[in-house]
Amino acid sequence: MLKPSDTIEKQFLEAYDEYSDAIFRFCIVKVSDREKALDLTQDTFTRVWEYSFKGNVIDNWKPFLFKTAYNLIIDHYRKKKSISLDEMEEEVGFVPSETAGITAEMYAEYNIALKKLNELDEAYRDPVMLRIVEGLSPKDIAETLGISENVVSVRIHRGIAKLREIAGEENK
Amino acid sequence: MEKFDDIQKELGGLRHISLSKDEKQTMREKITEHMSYKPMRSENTRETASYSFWFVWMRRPMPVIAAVLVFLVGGGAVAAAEGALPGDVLYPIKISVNEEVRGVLALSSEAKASWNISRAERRLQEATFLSADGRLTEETRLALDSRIEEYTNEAQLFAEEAENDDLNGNRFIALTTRIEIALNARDRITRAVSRATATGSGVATLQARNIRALDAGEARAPESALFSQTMQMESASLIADDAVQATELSKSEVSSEENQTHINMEHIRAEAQLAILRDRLKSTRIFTERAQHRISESSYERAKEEIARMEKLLEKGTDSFAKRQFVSASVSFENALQIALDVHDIVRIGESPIEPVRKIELDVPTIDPIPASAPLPIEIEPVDRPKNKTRNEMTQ
Repeated sequence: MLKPSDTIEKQFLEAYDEYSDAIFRFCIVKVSDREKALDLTQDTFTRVWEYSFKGNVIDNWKPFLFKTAYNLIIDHYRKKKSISLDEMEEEVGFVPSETAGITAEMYAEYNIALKKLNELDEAYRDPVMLRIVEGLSPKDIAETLGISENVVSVRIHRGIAKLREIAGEENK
Repeated sequence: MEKFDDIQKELGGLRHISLSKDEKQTMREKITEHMSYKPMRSENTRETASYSFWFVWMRRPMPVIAAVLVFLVGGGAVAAAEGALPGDVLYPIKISVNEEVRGVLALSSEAKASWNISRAERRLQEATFLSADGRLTEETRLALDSRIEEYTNEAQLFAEEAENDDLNGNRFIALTTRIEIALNARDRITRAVSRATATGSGVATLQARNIRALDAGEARAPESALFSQTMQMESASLIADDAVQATELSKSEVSSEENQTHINMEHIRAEAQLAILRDRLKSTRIFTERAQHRISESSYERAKEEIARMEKLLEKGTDSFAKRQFVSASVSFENALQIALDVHDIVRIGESPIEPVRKIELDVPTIDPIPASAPLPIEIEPVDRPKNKTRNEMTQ
């Protein structure tokens, strides 16, 4: 049985309490399916626990959890071979099946934000979301996405510029 | 042009989506349950194990390095490594190549459970042989024990997965019986828990048949008063009493023949025990021969006598099995498996072998319960037990 005083267990459960919403959000934006996002979130934490169980040490839980979630999302799409790219693009503009207690106003804001994000190319979408919405550092984003820190910085910069450009056109 | 803060604010709308309170709580419970299946080993065990070069190989299988080793020493090494023990040059190949390859071939949950049990049994056998040679150091014992714990935990998890995937109930029983026997042996071999506190003998084992209680060392079935008292007795030989007991059990079996499910369960259980007992008998013979040079002659003779009793029980159990008296067969096999563990104690203690603490098996409660008010069929000397101190006495 788990003992509350066990350091790794405690750290892990604290990481769950602190980051599970962020991981779920990341998953739902990527897969556009609440149930699937729930599964992926749970899988993320069980995989990370198994990694710890094998004796590996995790210094920084947040980027490690995001990286695990990201890999599971990639696996999810690999397995889902039958779906075409067009279908995936269509799915991105999804409507959550359950609003989980949010108000109509918050829901509208969510959809606007998602629409904005989806106007970016995929290469920019993930770094921008992780930086602006989840507050990960470029270094942590690099670790999550498996690209260099420089590339992350460039993509964030270009992504934000692109969003400004789109907003400028909309305001004309 | 829109300011950065505005963009940040707009994208911030994504934060409105989160897990509901119920979802978060339910998921937390599922994850905690998963954690309980794979609990962290104690820091003590971890640190101790990490000092050993050989167990670094075990903890982090290194297929690449192992493949290089195989390349260097040749394919014959793979076969030769099967008999390697911790500390031997070929041991890393046994762990990182032979066993990893076999593990990959186990595809279904049932096969994975079975393979994990086999790995636990292999570690037990290694502990047995090292012990016979007088080479079972505390460090190695802890490392092997940690491995056995891991494999049995994995096996239990896979067995439950297999059951959820509609595994045939009989095959599930076979798996759980093997896990139970491995855990019982672990208590006596790598954990060196005394016989009185270990599960697996007589009444205690039957009470512990709920496999869910097996994954936590603390969650052992309590010994009944009858069992505790029986443990104190020095009386007739096991074979003679067992014969009486078997007769009683046979009667019980006749009366319970209608219960086909129960019979099937005992059939599968006895079958699994028989397979393990044959291996255990073989390894106990090897163990005794290997230990001969370092134990006293009387201990050696004593161990040989115990092995002879195992052989008789095997024969007797096999006869019962052939007559479809599966409960009797199971009890005989269980007794024989216990004797194999007693041989360990005899060798461990060396020149001052312990008297077997229990020579008869009374397995009555689950089959033919004795009413609480009825006198016991045998006379038992009351056991003097220290009385619990009162609070006042403790403070004095």
